[in-house]
Amino acid sequence: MAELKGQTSMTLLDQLKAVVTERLADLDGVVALAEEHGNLAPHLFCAGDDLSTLVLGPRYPIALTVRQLLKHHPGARLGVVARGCQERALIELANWKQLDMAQIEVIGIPCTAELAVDCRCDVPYPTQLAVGERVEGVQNPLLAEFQAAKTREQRMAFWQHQFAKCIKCYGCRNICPLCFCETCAMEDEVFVDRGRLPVPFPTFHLIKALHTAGSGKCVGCHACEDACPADIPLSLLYTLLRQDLKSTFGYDAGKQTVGAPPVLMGEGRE
Amino acid sequence: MIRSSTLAPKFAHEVMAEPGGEHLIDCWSCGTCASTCLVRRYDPNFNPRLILRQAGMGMREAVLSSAEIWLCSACDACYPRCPKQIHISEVMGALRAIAIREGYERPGIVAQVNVETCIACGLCVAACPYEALSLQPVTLNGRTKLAAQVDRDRCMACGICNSVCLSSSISVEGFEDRDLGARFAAQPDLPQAINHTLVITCNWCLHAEADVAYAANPPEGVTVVNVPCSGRVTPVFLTTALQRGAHKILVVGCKEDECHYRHGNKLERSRADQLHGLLDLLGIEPERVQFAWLGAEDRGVFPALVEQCMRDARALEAIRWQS
Repeated sequence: MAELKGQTSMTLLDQLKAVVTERLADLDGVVALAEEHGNLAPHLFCAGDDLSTLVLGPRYPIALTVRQLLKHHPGARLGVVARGCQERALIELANWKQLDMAQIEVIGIPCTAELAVDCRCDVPYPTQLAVGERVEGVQNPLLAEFQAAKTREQRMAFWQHQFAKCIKCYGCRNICPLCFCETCAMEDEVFVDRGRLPVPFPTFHLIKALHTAGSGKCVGCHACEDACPADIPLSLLYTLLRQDLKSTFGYDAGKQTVGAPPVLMGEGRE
Repeated sequence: MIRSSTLAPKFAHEVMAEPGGEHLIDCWSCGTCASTCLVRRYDPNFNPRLILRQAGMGMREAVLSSAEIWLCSACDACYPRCPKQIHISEVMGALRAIAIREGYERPGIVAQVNVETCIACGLCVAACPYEALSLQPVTLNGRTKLAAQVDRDRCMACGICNSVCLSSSISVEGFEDRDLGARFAAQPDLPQAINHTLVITCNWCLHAEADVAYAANPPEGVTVVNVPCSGRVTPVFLTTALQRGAHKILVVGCKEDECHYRHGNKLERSRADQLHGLLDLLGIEPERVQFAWLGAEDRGVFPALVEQCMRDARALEAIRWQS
């Protein structure tokens, strides 16, 4: 992961701390990243707390942490220091009725150009920035490489090679900010054989893909791909599914607030 | 024989005072609704004309206690054809509302929620064609949470809720994925699988008796699994079936605008497109999973369709996923 270096990012951090201090006067707390003893973790800062451990990054999927906090503190109003992807995750979690955006005040921070490239991210900024400036997003370079694989055999070979590396660590599922089901189909023996490696068929991966990217949950945060110890280009698969949903149903997860999760059918298809 | 002493002369007015029942006595018993009715093709006991006539005559007890008033699935095939423009499914709704007040409830199975695992996302609520689901607080192990709840008087047991639920928390008894999977008796491992064809049919798409008989007794190498609605079938289930040895899968649902459960087939069509795109992306032939949408004019099409799928299954080699 790219680290933030140099004078500019220190100034940004100080600016952020100033904003957090100011907002803590009105909010019940602010969720941000803290680094202690070399370990990075989400931290709930409250009014009067020492902000010296607060850091900008590297990025972290804090959305589900926020969901848990709000479950345990109904009625609380929390600030959340969020990059673009995590803001989209929060918005989509609200669409799926897992939290109430009225309890959240997003304190938006931008990603750097290096981070955008590292994440292959096309939207490296939240809807509003509390500090800093936007940089432009990038296209996923794997997309071009994959689209160059013209024949069916080439495509199958590509994915066979990628999925053969999978060790079923469930990292992709565990880190996904939109994976909140208490019983997961990826662990259901009706679909997936336990203890079988390499996977005889990509059902394991297709469940993750269809249930997140194919269902209007995936916000393209790329945490899954980051978490994967085998460097499987999951974001490539999910990007293609997300593009399909956007072009067919106009649904772009995390970019719009809806009253209920999307039932994906109808008009667009034919 | 109907004894006039058993009739309730004010029943017609009671129904007409109920929302949905306003036009009950406009009916002149022409029987167009009965001849159009999709439910009636499957269950001759269901006769909308008869129900409206009985209600109009005052056969209160007979109508309210019947199982038949619960069979209308509000597909509304009859409505545009009724010469008196009676919204018959609304009349059925009115009769049901009165029946509920009298203490009757819908017979038969309805969807059931596992409140422990339900994460109250609301997708089933949005997807249900009958607005039979809502999120309600439940207390479990001393803590209160929201979970989906089934209104049994509205539920038509179509299984669409089951198909959209990502956490396997709602199902119709006998139609869970493990049940459907168990009915698919293919070899569990590739490449030892025989060139198996899996056919999944909805309850309503086969209109000819000969087609129904063929589905009940398919040729060797074909397994037919029946579901209430094609919308019950998920892409994950289809992928699993490919994994478990189906060389070819055929999903048969109702023609557009003829879904017995309002929008099940529309949902399934969209899933079909998504699955085909995904299979193609992975380098798997999309034609391994075929979808057919049959209407009343497609009598006799089914056996030929299955036989073509069997030929396709023979031509398609096992998916050599593991090299």
